[in-house]
Order: sequence, then structure tokens, then C-alpha cells
Amino acid sequence: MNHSQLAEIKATEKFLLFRFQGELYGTVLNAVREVVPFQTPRAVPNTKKNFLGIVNLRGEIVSVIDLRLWFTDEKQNARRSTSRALVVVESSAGVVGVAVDQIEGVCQLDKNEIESPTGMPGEIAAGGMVGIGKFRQGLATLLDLNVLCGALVLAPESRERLAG
Amino acid sequence: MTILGHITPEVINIFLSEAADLLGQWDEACFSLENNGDAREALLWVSRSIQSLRRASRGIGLEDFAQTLNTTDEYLRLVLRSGSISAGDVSATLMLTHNVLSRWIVGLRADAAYREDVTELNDSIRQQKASVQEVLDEERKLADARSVSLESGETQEDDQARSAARDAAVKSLVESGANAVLAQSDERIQQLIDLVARISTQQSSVETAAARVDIVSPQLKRMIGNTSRMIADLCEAAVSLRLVPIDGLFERLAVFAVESAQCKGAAIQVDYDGQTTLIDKESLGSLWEPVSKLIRWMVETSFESPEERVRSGKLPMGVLRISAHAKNSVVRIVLEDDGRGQGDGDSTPGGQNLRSFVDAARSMLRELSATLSVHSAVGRSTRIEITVPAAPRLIDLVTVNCNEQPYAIARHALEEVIDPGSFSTHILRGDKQLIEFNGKLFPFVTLVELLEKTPTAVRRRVQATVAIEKGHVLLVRIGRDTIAVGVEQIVRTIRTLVTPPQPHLDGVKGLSGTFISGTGEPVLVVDILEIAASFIGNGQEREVA
Repeated sequence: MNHSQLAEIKATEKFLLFRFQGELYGTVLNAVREVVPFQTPRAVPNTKKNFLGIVNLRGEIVSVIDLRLWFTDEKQNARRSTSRALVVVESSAGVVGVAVDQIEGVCQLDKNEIESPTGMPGEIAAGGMVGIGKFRQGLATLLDLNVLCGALVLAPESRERLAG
Repeated sequence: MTILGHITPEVINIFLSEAADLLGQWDEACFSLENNGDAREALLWVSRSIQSLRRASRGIGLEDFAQTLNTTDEYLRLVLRSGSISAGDVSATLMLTHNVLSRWIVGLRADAAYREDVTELNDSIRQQKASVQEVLDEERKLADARSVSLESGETQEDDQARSAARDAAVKSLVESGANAVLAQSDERIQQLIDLVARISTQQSSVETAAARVDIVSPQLKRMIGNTSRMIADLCEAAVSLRLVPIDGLFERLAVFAVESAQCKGAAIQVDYDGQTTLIDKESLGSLWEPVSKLIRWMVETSFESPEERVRSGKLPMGVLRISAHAKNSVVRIVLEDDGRGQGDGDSTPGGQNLRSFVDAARSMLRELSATLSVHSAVGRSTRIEITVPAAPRLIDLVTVNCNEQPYAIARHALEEVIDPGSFSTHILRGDKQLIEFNGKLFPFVTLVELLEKTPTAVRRRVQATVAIEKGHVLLVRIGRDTIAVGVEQIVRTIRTLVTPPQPHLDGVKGLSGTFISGTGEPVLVVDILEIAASFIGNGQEREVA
């Protein structure tokens, strides 16, 4: 995410807040299709480490990804499940469920309470981060799950095809 | 369901679209409610949206719909007046109403779509009637003119020519009318096939559940067996509605091959076989691109120049054979040339080798759940075999357990399924294994090893091979080679509708689709030919041989 994506956020926006490894994160509520309880995914061979597998969501096959590797690159912990919920988004890579530890709720935030990711390493800023939001629960890293899921899930050739 | 005869489809569609939007926002309100015990704001919003929907539904005569909304609204008002909100109960009630209304909306949409289709069909019939009337009028005029022309000495040949032209015009009109009706039926036939596939999947689940129960009455067993047979017949009948002969594709491919060869300065002869084979209409349309790609490779790379062929002891003109035959609900299409073939490492002048062409074609064929296998003998020939299910995506699958996880493999990709105890194993140097079955030796690999080429998988392979004699073995033929693939257990055979891989799984090697089993679990469908070909490509079978 970058400044232009931050500019797309409305003056007042609702965010879904969730916890992941103890930290608070948020994403624009309109971008979330639904939140469902965590289901153990069916593993898919030859996929990336952060791709946990697929689940059946009311007759629809949904991919599940783990954000852990995006944040920490701790490959050893990638399959350890502390997740209790799936945040389901419709990304450019199809419908994807993001495994999170806990849902905090929905909060409204003014745009001027969001700090842009200036000064963050380029890779992080380009990889799906909108900025830092100041909520009453504390500071939350705001993510664009659509961009993040596309970057984490797709094989390079699929990315090129969708981009084309 | 109420048929809204007096309301135009446009108005119904506007209502349905708004209703669907409002219901979509209910999810949000329910979520707030579940996470916030005092979500008065969310409840007020829902109450207002219910009132708005109720007014709209009464406006178009949907009294039952409005009544359901009214009941829920009264309940919400009661909750709001009482002051104490039991978030769980309210959320459950809202979700229940949400589900009921969603089902209504689906039904109404189908109803509206049906009415639009009927209107379109009636328009089409009216147009055809008008056209036929025009022809009849024209004929009357011609008859009048003929009587005049015969009187004026015009020949009978002229009259016959006019008559033939008129017949052709009528025939063309009739054909265009018939095509219009078929185009309208395609979607309905697809719906029928999808429905039959779902029934078939459900029936397989019933069979599996019955097999797990210790005591099942013989009568129930017989009934389940009869139902299965009837569903299989129904499947065949539904699929046969869309079958067309493959000859049109063959003719286009032959022209394409000959013209491409001429551009290259070569001459080839194309032989057909099985052009009356029937294939699904949708599959036929999707086959052109991958098959023509493979033929392009044959023409541009495999066929030698006439001089070179003569030097190799071949006839100057190359031969491309295209054949098709149907068996057990699949169609096998074989392309075979007598060219120079190609090894894995060889490239065309453009830099693309056989493998890259095959990968591209395989990726296109995945949409049809078709499989592809190639055998290229350097200096002699190349044979490419494409297996297409009779109906796209509706395929017979063998479900297996591997590494404690279910996978499915297309039945048509397997030569044979060997039961435990019917084969013996032989271990060679370097962990390589062979199995002996019916007096023949086959290189052996486990499905785990084919799926996951990691050190862990190899370790698992060693563990798996220790117990392999208790498992099943699948014989898979890749071109002229056959390998044996070990699995822990064969679960069952099922005919079901396979969904092509989602965009995020598209690049995953060896995955041809997914389906949801009767127990609700997602199951991966493995393209065994693709992953087994990579095993062959590693040269392991040659080493064994």
C-alpha cells in the first residue's frame, strides 16, 4: 500500500480490527466479505509456506493464508495454529480467507487519524500496508488485504496473467 | 411462489437488487450485534431497512414477503422497547429472517429470469412467423409471375432455378430458427447436467454412509443399488443431449496442419480416424486452441524437410494421424506424427521446446478436466494423447488416501488399480523400487513423493514404502511408459462435477481441480499424468530399465 491507496480512504471509514500475534491490525470493513470461525484447511501440495490450504465455505472453495510469514518470516511457526477466525476477502486472486487470532470489532476512524506509512521500508509499504490508525484500543496497523492476498497467494505466472 | 404477472421484469429486478443490497448490509449489523451487547444503533438501522423493504414489497404485491418482514420488525420493536438486548437471540433471529428472505430472493430471481426467457422466446417465434409469412407472400408473387412468364414463353429451367432458390431460402430460415432454439437450450441443458452431477455426488455419499453402517437391510442395499444405476443412466442421458460429432474440428485441424506445413516448405498428409465420434459441444469449442498449438509444434519442429526424410529412410511426405474414439464416458484424441520427435532439452528456433508447448496446452485443457500425455521418440515419431470427459468437468474419480489426506484422480488417467497382495516389490540400489504385477515390472513411486518433492516427502516415501504392500497401486501410462504409483488406500469411485482450480491455485503443478465431497470436505483432484510425466522426465524409468 502507498499514499495513493491511503487517498482512496473516505473522510470517515469503518475498519474491522483484529489481533494477530498480540498486535492490533485493521482493514477497511467494506473490503471484507464476511468473518467466519476458523476451520482447519485442507493442505495443498507445492504451494507457498503461507498458504495454509483450502476450506469449504458454504459450497465455495476458499483459500486460507497465514499472515505470519509476511510479518515475521518464521517458517518454523507457520503451521502452528492459534487462529480463531477467518477474515474472508474477495481479492484479485479469488476469494481468500485470512487466518487471524481474534476479532476485536468494528470501529470508525477519521482519515486524519491515520498516519501514512512514510519511513517504512519500501517492501512493507508496497506489500499491503495502508498506514497506522489511532483507535481507542490502541495503535493498529491498517492493511489492504486485497493487495496482501494477491501478493501472498498467487504464483508469479498467475499474477502476470491477472495483471495482463 | 407468487408469479408477479402484472409487474414488468425491470421493476422486479430493481426491487430484487435493492433487497439483496439491504440484506448484504444486515450481515454487518449482525456482526456489530454479536460483538457489542448494546448495539442499539445497528438494531435501529435494521428496523428501518425492514420497513423500507416491507413498503417496497407491498408495492409490487409480495404480501407474504412483507408479512415475514413485519413479524421480524415487531420482534425488533419489542426488543428495543424492553431496553435489555440479548445480542445472541436477536442476532439469531435476524440471521434466520435473513436466510428466509435470501431464499425468497433466489426464487424470485429465477422466476424473473424465466419470464424474461419466455418473453424472448415468444419474440423469436413471432419473428420467425413473420419471416415465413414473407416467404409465403414471395411465393405467391412468384406463382403469379410464373403464370405470366409461361404465357410470355419463358423456359421451364428458369422456373426450376427460381424454385430451387426459394427452397434454399426457406431451408435457411428453418435452420436459423432451429439454431436460435438450440442456443436458448444450452444454458438449460448445462443446468440439468449440473443438477444431475450434484445428485450423483449425493448418491455416492449415501452409498459410502451405507457401507459404513454395520447392519443394512438387504432391501435397502438393493434400493441404493437401483438408485445408483438409475442415476448413472440419467447422467448418460443428460450428457448425451449436448453431444456433437468431432468431424468439424478434425477438418479445421487438417487444413491448419497442411497450410502451416506449406508455409514451412514441407508437405504432409493428414489421415483421420473416428471423425464420427461424439463429444460435448462445449468441449469441442475449447479444444481448438490447445490441439492446434500441439499440431503447430509438430509441423514446425517435428516434421523434417523432404530431403532430410529421404536421408533418414522415410517417405518424402510426412504423415499426421488424427484419431478419436469414445469409451467409458471419455473421448481419447490421439495426434501422431512420423517426424523427428524431440528430447526434453531440444528447442525450436523460437526457443520453445516440446515441454513448453505441452505445458501451455495442458493449462488450457484444465478447464475441461482433460488430461494429456506425450511420448516423443527421437528420430521416429511423437504421439500425443488427450483424454476429455464426455461432459466437461463431470468425471469419474478414484478417491484415495495419501499422507492421511484424501485426493482424487480421474479414472480415465489410470490403466489399472491393483489391490494389495496382488503384486510384489523389489528394491534396487539407491532406494529405487520396482513392482512386479502379472509378470511385468514397473518403476514404483508413491503419490506422496510425486506431490511433494521435499526432503520430508522423501522421508515419508521411505516410511510409506515399508507399508506399501498393505496399500493399493495405480498403474499410470505416460505415452509408451507405465509407472506404478503407491497410495495408502482407495476410498471409492465417484462421478462428480469438478471445479477448475481457483486463480490462486492455477499455477500449482499437478492440480487439475477441486470438488466438495458429500461430507463437505474440499478434495483436491490431482493431474496424475502431469506429475508422473515429471517423474519420467527425471530419467528415473530409464535408469530402472
